[in-house]
Amino acid sequence: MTWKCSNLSIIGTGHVKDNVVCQDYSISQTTDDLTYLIISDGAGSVKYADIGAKLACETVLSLFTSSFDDFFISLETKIYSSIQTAVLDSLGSYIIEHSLNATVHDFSSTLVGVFISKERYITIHIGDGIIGMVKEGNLEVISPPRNGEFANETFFTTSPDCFCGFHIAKGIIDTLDISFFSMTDGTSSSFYQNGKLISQRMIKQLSSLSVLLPNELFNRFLEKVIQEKVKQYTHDDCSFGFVSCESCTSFSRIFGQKDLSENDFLLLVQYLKRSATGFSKDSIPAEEEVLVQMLIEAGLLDENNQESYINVWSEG
Amino acid sequence: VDEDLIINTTTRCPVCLCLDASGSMSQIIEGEFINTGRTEFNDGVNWNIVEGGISRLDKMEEGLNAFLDAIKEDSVARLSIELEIVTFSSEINEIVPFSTVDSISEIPEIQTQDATHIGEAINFCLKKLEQRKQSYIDNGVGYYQPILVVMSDGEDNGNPEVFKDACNRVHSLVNGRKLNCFTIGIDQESNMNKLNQISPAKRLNSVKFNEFFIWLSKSVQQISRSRAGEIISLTPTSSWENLTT
Repeated sequence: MTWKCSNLSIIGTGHVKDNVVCQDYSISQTTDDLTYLIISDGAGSVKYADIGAKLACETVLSLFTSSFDDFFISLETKIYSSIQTAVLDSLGSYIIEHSLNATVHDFSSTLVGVFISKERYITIHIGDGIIGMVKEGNLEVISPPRNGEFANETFFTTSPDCFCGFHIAKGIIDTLDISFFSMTDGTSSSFYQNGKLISQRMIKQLSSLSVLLPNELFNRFLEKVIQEKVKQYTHDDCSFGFVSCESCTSFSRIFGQKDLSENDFLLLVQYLKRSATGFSKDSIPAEEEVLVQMLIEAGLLDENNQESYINVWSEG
Repeated sequence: VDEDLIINTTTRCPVCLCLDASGSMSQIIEGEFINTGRTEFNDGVNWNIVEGGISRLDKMEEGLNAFLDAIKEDSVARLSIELEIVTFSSEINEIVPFSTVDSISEIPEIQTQDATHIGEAINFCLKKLEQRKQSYIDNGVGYYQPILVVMSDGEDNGNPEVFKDACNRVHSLVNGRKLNCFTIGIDQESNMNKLNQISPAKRLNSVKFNEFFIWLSKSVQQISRSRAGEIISLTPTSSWENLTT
């Protein structure tokens, strides 16, 4: 079972306007021992939100790198305690090292993390944001936002009562058709409303494309989605990430290929264009039609104007 | 079914204005007037009846309209801030039930009556806020910490036990961070000892209702744009607060 991961954090319009740096931070990678996606959203009102978010991600990564096996069989309280202690120690060390007149609360952030090792997964969640999965075509929320009663209340890595906003999930991965995703609250404002996921089709498409496209192209596409579909609904920074089993999309089943080069992908799109225009819709094999439709819906092919498709990869 | 909560899912900021409409609010404070020579006993005081002039109530209504106008200019706040206006005298009147500012075309004329029943009015407002929160929950609409604004001269002549109970309820909610309460004495003569029992009260300087409501509009606009974890620093109250004791 091999994995592909990608992550993106984009500064929100509010922070651009206020001349503030992006306070979201995200990392993802796959190695032989551990695959991870970690996203942290620095609290809007604290002085070192961006640094707090970065330190939270790095600390939790270090913790899971050494302790995944132990955590997989540990109680939730032990994992929570280990995470909070490690993050607070890390923040404390940073304050001392840089001689800052600050407390750990000046580095508050929320945290979502997905960790996979040997067909097992653990997700951790403190505060707002969402973790979900697309499993065999079905989309589900693993961990919904953990907020207080009011819209501007949430839990942070540094909150004394952050256990109330802490959630952990573990499981065995028993299918190749699986993809995990997570997002911060800025992004979730476009995908999660009234306690439910909306735009489910787009999330499913993104999870398929996260495997279908080479990482660089997928990140460009993800950025386009966030810039055009998400940022208009929020002033906040936006982060989004995917961890997908490489075998999970229809693409590899249809074409028997994995990571495409940019040129290969352009050829594929042109082939699909010809297929879409050269034959009547009825004559397109069902499997290909699904992919053509997926590319059209994803904005990669323009159904009405076959001469110009939205080539997101060449815009960069 | 509250259709507005289904159509407009913007996170709500409920604001309940609990306004004194006792006889003393008819007191003339500015402008030219003619004394009719008549007198009337109202709200515990013998008043000279005059024609013309600008009353405390006129100033309050002017401030309320300025509040509405300021919120309506804010594209986020106009869909987020829900206003409830309750006036109190010997009776409690819900003159504007909870509505987004966007949907309030004008504020009904406020009628003054004898007596000042503050405790009863506060209890009514707390009940309305609780019911509104439940509507948000039932419809899956997020909300900010509710805001209660009590404006009065503090000369309460309602049931003392009810007043005490209302104060206790406000303290409990404020201490539990479930409510923001602003208690405002409307002028220099306001009974601040009484008003301070509700929550730490501030006094309007020279009946600056307009300045107060502009400040309130800025404050609620800040809240309606706040993000999770954001600590909101309200703008200074120097534009309207009388700091003298």
